[in-house]
Amino acid sequence: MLNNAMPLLQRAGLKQTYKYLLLPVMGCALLLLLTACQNADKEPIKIGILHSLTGTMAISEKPVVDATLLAIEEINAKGGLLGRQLKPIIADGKSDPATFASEARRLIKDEQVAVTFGCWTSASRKTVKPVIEQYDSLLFYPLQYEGFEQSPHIIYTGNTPNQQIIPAISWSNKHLGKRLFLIGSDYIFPRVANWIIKKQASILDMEIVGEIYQPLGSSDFDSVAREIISAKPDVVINTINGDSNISFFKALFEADITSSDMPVLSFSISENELAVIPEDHSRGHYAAWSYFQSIDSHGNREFVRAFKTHFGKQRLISDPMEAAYIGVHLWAKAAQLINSIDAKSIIFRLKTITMEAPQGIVAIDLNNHHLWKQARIGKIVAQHQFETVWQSESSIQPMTHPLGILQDDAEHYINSLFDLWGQQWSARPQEE
Amino acid sequence: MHLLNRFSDLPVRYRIIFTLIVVVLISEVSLSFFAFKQFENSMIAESIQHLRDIRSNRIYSVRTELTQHIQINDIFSSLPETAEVLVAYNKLPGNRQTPDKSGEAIEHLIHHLGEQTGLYDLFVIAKNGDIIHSAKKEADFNTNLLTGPYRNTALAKAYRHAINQLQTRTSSIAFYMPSNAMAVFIASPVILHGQLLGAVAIQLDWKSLADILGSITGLGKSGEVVAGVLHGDKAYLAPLRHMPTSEMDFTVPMGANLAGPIQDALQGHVSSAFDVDYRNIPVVAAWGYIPELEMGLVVKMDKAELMESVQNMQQNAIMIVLGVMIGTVFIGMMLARTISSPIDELTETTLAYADGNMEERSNISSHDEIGLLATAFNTMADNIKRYNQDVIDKNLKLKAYGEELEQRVEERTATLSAANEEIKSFAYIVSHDLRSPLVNLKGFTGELDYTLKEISEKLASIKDKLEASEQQEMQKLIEEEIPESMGFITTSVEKMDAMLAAILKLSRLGRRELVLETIDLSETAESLVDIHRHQLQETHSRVDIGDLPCIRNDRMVVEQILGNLIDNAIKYLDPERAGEISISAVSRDSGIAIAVTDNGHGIAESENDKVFQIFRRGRHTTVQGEGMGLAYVQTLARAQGGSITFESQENLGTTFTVFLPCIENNEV
Repeated sequence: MLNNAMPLLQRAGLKQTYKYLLLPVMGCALLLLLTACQNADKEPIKIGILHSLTGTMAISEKPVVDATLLAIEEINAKGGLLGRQLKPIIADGKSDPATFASEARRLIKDEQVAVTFGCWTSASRKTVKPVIEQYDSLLFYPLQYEGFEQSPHIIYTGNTPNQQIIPAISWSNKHLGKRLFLIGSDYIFPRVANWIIKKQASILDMEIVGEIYQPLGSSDFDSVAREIISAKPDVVINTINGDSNISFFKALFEADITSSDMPVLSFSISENELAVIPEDHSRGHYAAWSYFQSIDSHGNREFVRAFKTHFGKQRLISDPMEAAYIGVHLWAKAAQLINSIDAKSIIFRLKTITMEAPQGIVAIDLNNHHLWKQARIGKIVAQHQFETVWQSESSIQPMTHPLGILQDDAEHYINSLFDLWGQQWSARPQEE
Repeated sequence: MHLLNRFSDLPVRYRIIFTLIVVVLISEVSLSFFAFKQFENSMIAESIQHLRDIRSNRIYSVRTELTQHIQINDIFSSLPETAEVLVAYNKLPGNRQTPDKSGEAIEHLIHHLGEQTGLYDLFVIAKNGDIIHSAKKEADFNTNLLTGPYRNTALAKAYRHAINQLQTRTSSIAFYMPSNAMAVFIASPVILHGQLLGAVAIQLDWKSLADILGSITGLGKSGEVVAGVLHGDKAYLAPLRHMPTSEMDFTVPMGANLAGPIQDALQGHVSSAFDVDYRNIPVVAAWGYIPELEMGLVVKMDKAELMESVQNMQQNAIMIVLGVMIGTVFIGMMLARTISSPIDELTETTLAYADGNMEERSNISSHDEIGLLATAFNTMADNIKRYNQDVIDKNLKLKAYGEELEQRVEERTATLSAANEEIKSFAYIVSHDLRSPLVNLKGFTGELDYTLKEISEKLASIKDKLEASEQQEMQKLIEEEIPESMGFITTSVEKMDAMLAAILKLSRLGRRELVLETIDLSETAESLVDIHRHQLQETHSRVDIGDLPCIRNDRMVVEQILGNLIDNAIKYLDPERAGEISISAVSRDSGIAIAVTDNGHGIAESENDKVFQIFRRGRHTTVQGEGMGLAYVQTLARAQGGSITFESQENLGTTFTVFLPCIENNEV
């Protein structure tokens, strides 16, 4: 009897101990479970960044990558998006439209990115567009461009012609003169831009005294300079892209064409391009953008300080960089509001989103996925900076079809260029 | 720890109730707190989400509405009638308005469009700024927007933008004097065949937009939509519920600690938070920006209304906590009773048992832990009872054995002491009584000597009478043989006398009464060693006397013991090497052990048994002695309950250790 009773008693004692242990243990388990539930789904959100890191466009596009990364880091520093960190996946478009398309496909299909920020040239955007649309994905395009395009899957954070070209020509009409000389690289943007400018010039009774296109990457502008001198324009409208601008301004400088005689109004020269053009060559000329690094506002000072803290004091900031930076923040705001990173829902929600960008208030247009932006004209001053000489009263509504130009006419013109260039978005480089 | 100990001192039932209350209270309060927080958070999150949704919907609706109007205006600008009337007007010298066919057509069109779309007014404006057609024909009609009285109105600004930038422009919302109301304008250029002809504009009634924005559907009792625009450094507000007829005449300076949401909205931010509104009342708000109108929009709800439900929930939670608390105390008491009453009962039983009532047993028969404990207690009590009986029985037996044993020991001891006394008296008798005949033997031997001298004298007188040979023989007998024999006898008698004296001494030593005094062992040893100083110097030996204590004992006994041991040690030193003798003592509780160590000849193992026998001596015949030393030492030691032992190695040396027990005074 005694021998049987003892273990029973011991067990009873143990049971008592368990009872006292059970509550705290259960409490802990409950807490763990709760935290586990909250911590679930914490893997980072992949963000595609698609720009040329090599090739002729790399010099322009690399800073845009940095601005995109800055916005991503800012979001991550504030705890990420929806409790998840953003993980940038950077792809190299190698300044080649075909590579842009294949890399976009890789980002979406293989990397499963939630959104892609990228492209610079219209040529690269036009090859990436069908890929983005095919996979119902989302692209933020940070550059000013020629317009006449819309995609339910692309948010254009750069300027449309009515936010850059048209105000600039109007301003030029009032302040510089009526005789325009058009010079541009031979690809889609300069061709279409000048097509619009010619229409505007006719409305404003302006005169086109010359129109020349040089292949992308060309460095021979001596003959161009001679032609400009002989045409005697009031203003040279420059849509040359990339490092050709170095040769162009050098040729003008050497031909003694000064900014006071024949100012150049450029649409593709930002602070970053100025860095490689000698100050003597560029000083006093003009450029039209939404954003200049020199804008004196609280928002811009913060942005410039943040960028320089991240990437170095000597770094310059340009309009496309700001546009890329805005794009990331707009996307994150929309995702935050709908608590999802689903591309379609974000696109819809973006339509009610505005933000105080470094350049001022920006908003996405209800109809065409472009940004309401400021228009500014800057005069080139020292240290690769612009001094704003004119700016729009408020944000300008983006228009993909300026001056009442019909889509059919635009498409017809654009397609004829595409055919002319042998199913390319730019003229073939000159044979050596 | 102290508190815990005091808690352990409390009766079980209080501990159970207390523990239950604490555990339930903690879990309940933490759970209800958690649930309440969750509820509060989700309430707030839900409300904010709700306000955000309304905010987004309103902004989307207004923007859609505006977009439609922009499209209408675009169509309006591209209608052939519009172009026609502008072309006609621009052609006129001096730009004078004359009613003609195209004028009628456009008038009709404007009226029709206005009716169809609900627009407040429509305008056709010439390239030079003249308003040439208007549906309402208010004061602005026929004035010039570049030079006329209304050149600074929103309509004029929109017109200028449309003309200069060749694109449609929506004006921000502002008071429009000709209509005496707030208005929004959309202006578009009219371009035909690459020619700018002029512009068209439409006027939107602020009221129609405010109706879209200001609907309070889904905003509860205190919900409100506030629209605001920025002019200079002041925000002009239209609180669309609390001041329904407002014309945006409520101003808040930018940067003021008032109406934070609208100020933030006017800077282009889309957000939501708790803040104070234009009335300085705490609200929960969601806000955004309408770019077309450059207008901030705030959808808000008083925090008090939101918190009302939270407070209700809080009260409910407190009531539930209290209810559960009371229930817990009640259940705790019941539970405590079922546990503690059998424990009390068992405790009583155990206490009675502890007081000596070995027949006390527990009556608890439940099957729980307490029941088991009670059963175990009863079993234990039974077992203790049985063991107790066994122990008593065994004790009795043991006592009997003990008594018997004691008796036997006593008997044997008596026999033994009798035998011992017998031996002692025998030794005494032998030594004492044997001396008498020995004295006689000695005496008569002296007598014989004397007689022999007489004989020798007598013989000298008769010397000449004898022959030379006889004389020689006689002389040899008397002078050599007899004295030789006499010498042997005398020697033997003396030897025997000495032996008897020794035995007598031994037997006396054994019975000697001790005279206790304090003896300094070091001093004693030194004086004893001093006796041999000369001999020690000769043999280059030395005696090392350690740190010896003072003891209380009989001086004669101690001197005898030490003396004999030192004598022995010196005697049996090996002449081949320098002698080294050490004397040491170790005090113990029970007595003192005195050791004398030498490096002399040592004792062969075969002699170990004989060391303490009387008249036994070491094998080294060169050494003088009567062989009684160690026997005395042993006798003296034993006489006071001590002992002597030795350790030896032949040719290396010997250690004799004498143990003398402490002697109490009263024993003497």
